[in-house]
Amino acid sequence: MIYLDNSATTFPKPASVRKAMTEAVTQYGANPGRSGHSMSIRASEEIYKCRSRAAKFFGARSPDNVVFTLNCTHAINIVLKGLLHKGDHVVVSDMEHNAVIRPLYALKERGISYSSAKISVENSDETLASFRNALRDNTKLVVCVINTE
Amino acid sequence: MESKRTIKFNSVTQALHAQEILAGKAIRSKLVRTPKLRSESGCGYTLVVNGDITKALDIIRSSGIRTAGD
Repeated sequence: MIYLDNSATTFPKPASVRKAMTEAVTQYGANPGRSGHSMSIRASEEIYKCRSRAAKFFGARSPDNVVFTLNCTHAINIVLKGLLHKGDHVVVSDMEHNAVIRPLYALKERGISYSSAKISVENSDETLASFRNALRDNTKLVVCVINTE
Repeated sequence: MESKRTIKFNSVTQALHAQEILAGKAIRSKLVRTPKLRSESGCGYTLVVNGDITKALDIIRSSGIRTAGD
């Protein structure tokens, strides 16, 4: 099989990933942040290192500002359902992933609205203008998670 | 555990962040689970500081890290 579904999950995983996962499972596979024994502390430290690197990579103010979630859909739902309240408006692109559109559609019942800005593949100025025009006084969020399918 | 050299945190992330900050200022510390009897909020972690605890607290608080009870 020629695997081309890397946007879903990468395959094969890089050797460094396989090595790190094997080491975690065989050497310190304890529950982090719950216990005081050495394996739990080690697991906590490894997660913290990852959190710290993610913070530096994304320019977060602190490792405390990094939240690990189950997957992108989970993360998007946390943002949408955590940030938005009745009367809020969201701008999305006209090429959004279901992970954005489905929860937003459901949130209409809670009085949250959204508008789709057209993406012009060949003209980025037109795309920007489209997003600008979609903004309203009550726009709280602009979400862009382009569907790669 | 000698209480005068310890700093409590509500999460392991805050404790590890504090430990990292202190290490950058050449203050060593050990991470341990907060003993249950003395914990006010349940699952917490404590840094046992090898050095001036007042200085360590100042460094941690000025870095914006909250300690338990803050």
